[in-house]
Amino acid sequence: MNLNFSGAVLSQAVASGIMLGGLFALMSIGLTLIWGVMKIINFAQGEFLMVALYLAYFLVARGHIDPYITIIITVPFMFFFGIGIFRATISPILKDPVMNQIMLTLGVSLILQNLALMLFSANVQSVNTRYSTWNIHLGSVVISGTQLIALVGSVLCTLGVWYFLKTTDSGRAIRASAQNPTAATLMGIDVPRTYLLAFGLGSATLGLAGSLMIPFYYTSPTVGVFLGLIMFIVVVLGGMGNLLGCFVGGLVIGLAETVGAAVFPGSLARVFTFSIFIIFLLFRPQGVLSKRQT
Amino acid sequence: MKHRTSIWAVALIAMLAMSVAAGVAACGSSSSSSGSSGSSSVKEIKIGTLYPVSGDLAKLGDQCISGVKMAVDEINAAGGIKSMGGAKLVLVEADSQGKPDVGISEITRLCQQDNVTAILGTYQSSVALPATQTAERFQTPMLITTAVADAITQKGYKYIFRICDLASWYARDQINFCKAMESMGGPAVKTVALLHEDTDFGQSTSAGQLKYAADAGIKVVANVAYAASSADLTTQVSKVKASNPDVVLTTTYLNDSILIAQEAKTLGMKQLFFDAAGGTVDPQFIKTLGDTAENWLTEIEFSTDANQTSIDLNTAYKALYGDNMTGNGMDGYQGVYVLAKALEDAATTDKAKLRDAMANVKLVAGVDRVVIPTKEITFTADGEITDAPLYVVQIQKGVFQTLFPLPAPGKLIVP
Amino acid sequence: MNLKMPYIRIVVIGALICLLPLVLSTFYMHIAVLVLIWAFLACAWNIIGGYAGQHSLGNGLYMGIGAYTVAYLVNRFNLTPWVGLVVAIILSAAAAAFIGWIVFRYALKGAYFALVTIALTEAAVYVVSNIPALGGAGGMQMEYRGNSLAYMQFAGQNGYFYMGVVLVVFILLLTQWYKRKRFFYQLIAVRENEDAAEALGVDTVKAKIKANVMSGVLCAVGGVFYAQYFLYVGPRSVFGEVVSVQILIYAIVGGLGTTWGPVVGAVLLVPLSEITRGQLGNSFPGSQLLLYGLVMVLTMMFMPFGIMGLADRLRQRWQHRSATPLVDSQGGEAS
Repeated sequence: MNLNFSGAVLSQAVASGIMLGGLFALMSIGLTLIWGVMKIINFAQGEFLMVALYLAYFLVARGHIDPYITIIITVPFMFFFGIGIFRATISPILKDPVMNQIMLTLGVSLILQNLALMLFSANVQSVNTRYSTWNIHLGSVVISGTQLIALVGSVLCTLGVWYFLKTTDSGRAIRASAQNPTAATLMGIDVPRTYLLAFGLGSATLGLAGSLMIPFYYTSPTVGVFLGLIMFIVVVLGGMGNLLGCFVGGLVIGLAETVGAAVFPGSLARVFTFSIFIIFLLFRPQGVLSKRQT
Repeated sequence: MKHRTSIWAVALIAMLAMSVAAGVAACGSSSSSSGSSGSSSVKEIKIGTLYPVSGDLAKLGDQCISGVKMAVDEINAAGGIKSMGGAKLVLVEADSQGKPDVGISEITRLCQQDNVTAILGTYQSSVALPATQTAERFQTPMLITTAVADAITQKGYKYIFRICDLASWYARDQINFCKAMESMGGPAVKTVALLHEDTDFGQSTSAGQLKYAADAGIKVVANVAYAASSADLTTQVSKVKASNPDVVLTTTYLNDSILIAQEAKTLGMKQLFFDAAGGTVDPQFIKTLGDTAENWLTEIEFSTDANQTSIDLNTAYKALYGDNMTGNGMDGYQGVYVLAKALEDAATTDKAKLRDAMANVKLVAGVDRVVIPTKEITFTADGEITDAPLYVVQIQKGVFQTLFPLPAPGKLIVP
Repeated sequence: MNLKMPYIRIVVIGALICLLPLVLSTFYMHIAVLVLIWAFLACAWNIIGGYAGQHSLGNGLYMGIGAYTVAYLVNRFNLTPWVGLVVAIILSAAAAAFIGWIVFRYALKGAYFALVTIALTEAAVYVVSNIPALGGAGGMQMEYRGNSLAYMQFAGQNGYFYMGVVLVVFILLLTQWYKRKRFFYQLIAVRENEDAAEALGVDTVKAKIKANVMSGVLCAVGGVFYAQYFLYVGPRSVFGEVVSVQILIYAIVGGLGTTWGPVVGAVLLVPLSEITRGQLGNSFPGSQLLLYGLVMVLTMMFMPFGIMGLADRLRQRWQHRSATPLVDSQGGEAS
């Protein structure tokens, strides 16, 4: 196996990796937020993103709305979608063992996936917008404009969520509930309501991701399977519940995918991504940024 | 003591539940088959189908089954199988879900539960390989319409036949076209780069490309594989670009073919891209990409404009399903006619006799219904179709223009 | 109460099940074999997921190791699957011990273990797909050699069926036996309250790794059986998230941490899904998986301890009414 790659390929890979990493981080913010607040891993998060992508797709393809304007619809929709799912399924079993919650969200993901299959068929759907051909040339490196916007969106979203948690009353309530639900209740915080808010927020970030992804990505009933897996890896790498770590984790995985593809032959790139993950598990299982907790 | 009894009860209930479930299934399947039977037919011949109608490849499975249904309806409307007193063909459909183990389960169901006379199937070689092994064990003739791995017909099975092209034939015709390209006003092809997805489809096709390119003295300057679920393929495309080939040979599914086309344009690649009948044959490819899809070459088993037969067939198909017919649909359609001819010859639903009739079947263009661009359809001793030429087409102004085999209506455009 | 009773019960039910081939047709025998395969795998998963309460979502990894080992050794070296079985057990034990050690050595638990195991089993799909010697993405097919116990192959379903019955009876006896042993008491202590277990002197890390190895090895045995029955292994059919989730659905629905739960779950759900696929699959693609999703959600919401757990509850309530006061124990089958 020959490791043939040139400087041009490698610099392109690094640029693409950063773009991709931003995207992965954006997808994963919701998952890490939900975990951080209520210690639930939402295994349907990938399917939530699938729903957001379908919504964005239909708004753009059928409604002829500019993809970046669909944000004002997708974000609130996903917020209430998340709240609806939470109310109907998760909140009744919030006190049950973790395993039950995992199973429940896995069940929800199977339902969403196969409902989408029945409603929209298995067709891969994507749109061609006027942004698709918008590119930025930096020497030999080409950066896709739509991916750059997604990266910017990712940074802004991370900062936005962080700012919200740090400064607003609702944000403080969420953090208090996360740290110690009992104490928060004693302080007069309506913990179930803050959980609901956090879950809605975690879901709303996917609305943003859906709108920012649809100009250069596609949607299909099974799109959430692979994207969901990426989310899990990013969140574990970042240190579960750590917002900034999630961003760094996204970058690590994005770079691993593209640099791996540049350096290794065949589709071993994907293996490379998983190897990075396993190496991190061996040496920094608590995540890239977190302190060791034993 | 009480503990004991209740556990016994639960176990007993579980056993009962299973036998009840089995009973329900028996009633269910018998009622469904009688429900779908023709009203006044003397006899009916059950044909099983196994295609992935759910899962990732459901769309492709749908195309196959659409072609099959169309042919079955035509044959029944024309009086069914005449040598058996006008017996009607009845389909018993099964879903492989794209999973090998499900494929085996469903073949077992079709053969043992529904007692089908023959089976048409299936998409995906990974399903077809174990499925054919099972069909062979049940001694039920199975006609493969859309699984391309060469190995399927090289196992010495007696009951397995195939009418679609082999994976290596796609590669062979790609290289043949590359050799002819100079005479068609294209570049003299000395080097190619391979860019393929990494399931068995991409792996087996690229193996063929390597072999035939070596035979033709064409140098392979890059061989890049990727996972079809990748969110970004810029790196892979730039790797291909850096190798500076004369032509890029791709093997794709739909979403990755779209990514590749977009990223090749982004990176300013001028080379011709030539896909091995992957994602590019999906109408969605042109619809999504618009101008970006222009000049892409691909191979198709069925050309909607090559001759009057295909134009008529496509018109009828489009009236039924709203889309253009694809190679998958055509192979399914042709498969039913091949099977019907064998049934006509055998004049019995005895599987062993039908198997012999299949082995000796001969459909002559002009006399029998032949929509594959060939003079006659026969099988080799392996059960492989003797010849099924592929068309090479180029996307020009949003439609496929047939370029090859020569002479052909279209002209090659080099960007 | 007679301590031997649970064992006798398992053996007697197993013997009764052996009469099924007399009444079932080939296709239903096929379903019966599938039930046994999944019941066995679910029982194996139950040790780490049910008794130890560690949420492994990646037991497909061990199943895949078992299936691939035997397929590779048969195809490449023409070795009998019985040798493959031994190698598979060694490899899966090593893998399970290593993964257990990575995860459990830190006090990282709960969902973390779930995410790591799911990522590893998916990683295995990509690794195997890229190894040509293992058949790449196309997987490996084994030749059918006719009725031969030496090659663990049988002409019809019945041979596999009896083999499956033996395996399931074996794993039920094993579980039942361990339930009276110190080891399972430790696991249950870990599940209920890890800190308390630690304080009482239980080496929780060791107990969890041991449970993971036991569960992994048994899943590999299930994988060998699977490979021998289908004579085909593919990256997605034995590794990966989908298979791993399928393994545990049966245990969850039947009842976590109970001897019979996984079997009951498989007996109910496998035929149900085979039938929905046959009946509805064409008009409603995906209906089988949708059904699984619904069953999972409804089970978690209204029957969180599964069918056996529910049966247990009902029994206790009934006993309670008929005088003997009883402390409510969670979900465990108190036989």
